[in-house]
Amino acid sequence: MFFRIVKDLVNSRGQMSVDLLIAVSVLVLSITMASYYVISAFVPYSGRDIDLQASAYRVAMILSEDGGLWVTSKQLLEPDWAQKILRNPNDYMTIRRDLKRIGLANTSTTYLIKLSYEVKIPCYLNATKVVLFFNESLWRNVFPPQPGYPYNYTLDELANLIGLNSSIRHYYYNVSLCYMNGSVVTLKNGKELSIGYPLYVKGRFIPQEFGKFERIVVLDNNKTISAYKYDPDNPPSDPSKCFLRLVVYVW
Amino acid sequence: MSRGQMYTLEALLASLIIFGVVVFAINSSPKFGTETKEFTTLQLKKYADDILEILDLENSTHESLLSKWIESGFKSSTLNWTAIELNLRKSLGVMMHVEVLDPNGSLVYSFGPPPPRGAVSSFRVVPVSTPPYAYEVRLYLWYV
Repeated sequence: MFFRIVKDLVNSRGQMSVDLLIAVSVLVLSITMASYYVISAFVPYSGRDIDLQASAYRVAMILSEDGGLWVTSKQLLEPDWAQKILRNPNDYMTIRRDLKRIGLANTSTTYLIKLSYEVKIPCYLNATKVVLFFNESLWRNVFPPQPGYPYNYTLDELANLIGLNSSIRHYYYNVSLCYMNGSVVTLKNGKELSIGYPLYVKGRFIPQEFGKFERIVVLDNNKTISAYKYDPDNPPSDPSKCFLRLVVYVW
Repeated sequence: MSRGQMYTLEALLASLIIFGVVVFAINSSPKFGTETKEFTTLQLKKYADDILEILDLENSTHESLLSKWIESGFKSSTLNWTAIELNLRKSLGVMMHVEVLDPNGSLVYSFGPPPPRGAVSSFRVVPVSTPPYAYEVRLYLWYV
C-alpha cells in the first residue's frame, strides 16, 4: 500500500488525494490518542497521590487555622479545648466525649467579648494547645490501645480529630513542629514536638508515596517550648526568627 | 488534472491539518504531573499568605507590624525584610520580592529582585492611621 501511495504521488507530480489526507489524519489521531490512553493505564496510583496531598493540606490547614471544637452544651461548641482538658486532665471519658476537633490556632482577644471565642487567628498558635496536642501519653490514656486492632488505635482516633478520616482507607501520618532549618522543636525538657507514625525506622525513610504540606506559624508564648514567641505588642524587627514550620506528612 | 486531487502547494494546507490533528490529540489526552505542580504552587502561595498573616497580626491597640512599618516610613529598624529574605532563602530555598502600593496603585516601596514569571504572589490591604489610610502590601515568592 505504501508503494502505491508513493507511486501515485510520483505519477501525479506531487499531487495527493483528499481521501489520503483524511485517512492519514484519522490514522495519526487514532495512534496518538491510543498511545496516550495506553500510557495512562500504566501510571499507578496517581489518584491516590492527589488524595494524599489534599489530605496533608487539609490537616495542616485545620491545625494552623482552626482553634478546635469542644462541646460545651447541645447547642454550643467552643475552641478552648486545651483549657477544658487542663481543668480535668484525668477525666479521659469527658475528653473522649466532648473533644470534636483539634486546632492549634489562638482565638482573638482584641475583638468584642461576645465574638472572642469565635474569631480564630490563623498561624498564631496557642502554646498550651500545642503542648497538649503533641503529648502522646495523654492521647494514649484518652484512646487506650485496643487488642486486635491492626494499626495504632490511639493515633487513628487522634487522626479523626485533625481531619484525617480512615474509614475508607487507612492513613498513616506524622505532624511535627519544626524550626525553619527543619529540625524538630523541643519542649524545655527535651521532648520533641512530633506526633504520629514514625517517618524513619532504623534510619530508613518509611513513606514510599506521601503527601506533604507545611505552614509557617508562630507561638504566642514559650514558657515550656524552646522557641521564640511572637508578641504582637512588641514585635521584633526580624520576625522570621520566630517563624516555625508545621510539617504534615500523610501516606 | 485527476479529479479528487490537489496540487503540491495545497499539500502545505494538508500538513497543517495533520499537525492540527496531532496537537488536538495531545491536548485532549490525560495529563500527568500537573497535580504535583499545582500543590507546589499552592505550597508557595500558603508560605506567602502565612508570612503576611503573621506580619499583620493585630496587637491590643489594633496595630500590626506591617502598619507600624508603613507608618514609620518603611524603616528597616521596624521591619527588616533583608533578614526575612535571608531566612527564607536559607531554610526554604525561596526568594522574595515585596511591593507596597498606595490606594492609587502607585508603587511607594519595593524590595528584592523583580519576580520572574511563575512567581506566586499574595497581598494584604493594611489599614494605617494616617492618610491615605490604607496600603496594599504584595509579597512575591519563587523557588531559587
